[in-house]
Amino acid sequence: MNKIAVIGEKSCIMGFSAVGFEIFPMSDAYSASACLKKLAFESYAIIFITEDLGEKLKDEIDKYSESLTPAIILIPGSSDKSEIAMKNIQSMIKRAVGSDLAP
Amino acid sequence: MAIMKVNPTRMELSNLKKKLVTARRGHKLLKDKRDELMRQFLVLIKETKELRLKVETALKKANSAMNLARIVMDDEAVETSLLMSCQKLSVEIKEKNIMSVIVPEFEVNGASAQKEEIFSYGYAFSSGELDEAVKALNNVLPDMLLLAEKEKQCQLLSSEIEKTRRRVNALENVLIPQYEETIKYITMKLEENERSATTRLMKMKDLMLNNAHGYTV
Repeated sequence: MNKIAVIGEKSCIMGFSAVGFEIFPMSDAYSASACLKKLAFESYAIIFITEDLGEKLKDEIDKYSESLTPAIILIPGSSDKSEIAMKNIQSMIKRAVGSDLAP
Repeated sequence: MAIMKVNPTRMELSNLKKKLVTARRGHKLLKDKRDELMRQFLVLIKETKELRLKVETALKKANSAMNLARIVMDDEAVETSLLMSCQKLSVEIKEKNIMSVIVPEFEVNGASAQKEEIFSYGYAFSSGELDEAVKALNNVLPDMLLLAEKEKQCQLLSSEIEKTRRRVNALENVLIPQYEETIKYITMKLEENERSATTRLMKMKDLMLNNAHGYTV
């Protein structure tokens, strides 16, 4: 059975523990990267990661983009709205279409 | 376009013709695959975008509710209330096949049915704001999981489309023209050989006539 994990700053991911996700509070990119590697190796199907950490771990995350699991999904963190996740979607379109479509 | 390094023989010619037919068929098939993948991808990406917007705004709301709860209650109380969760989620991964791309589908087990069961803590020492926050999070939960599934599918599809597009282009712009050029080259070479053989024969005939009868044209 596969589990769901959340990586991020403690203050913004704590609530997820109440709804049944497993939380892994990480504050810096280094430990988060190690954590991500560990979780990807174990049977975690979905890993949510806060945007500000996700931005720092972009290279790590891209490694898993071709494999079936884990699905690594960015969620907005405590900081103000950033557009990384939307940009990721745009870049996916760009990759598939071969050129940038107007949004 | 450069021609391939082959011997201009009939053997090679027939081989190349067979290869050209295969390449053309492959090109057509891959092109169809690319078009269909693209169609599916565009539908999927539109859904994903909408879902992401929805999830992001919902999470924003949940976050601000959580912040409110942390203002009203002290941090330790919030933590102890939250860390004891009564619902344990697990997902089952099912594989779905979209145009021979294997994509995951997540099926969640163990989400609690009753609305009241999401609160793992007693109401006595917690504030109403915390309840609101947990409720909000619980409400976005299905959408978040759906988003995870769709984003993963989009990722896998987009890389497959990229590969297919490259293959189609390589076939269309490199391989097929190359074959065509080479076939043309070999045909012309063979015709040239034939012509030179005919002239040689004619020349030989003249020479032999000359030798036998002193007959010149």
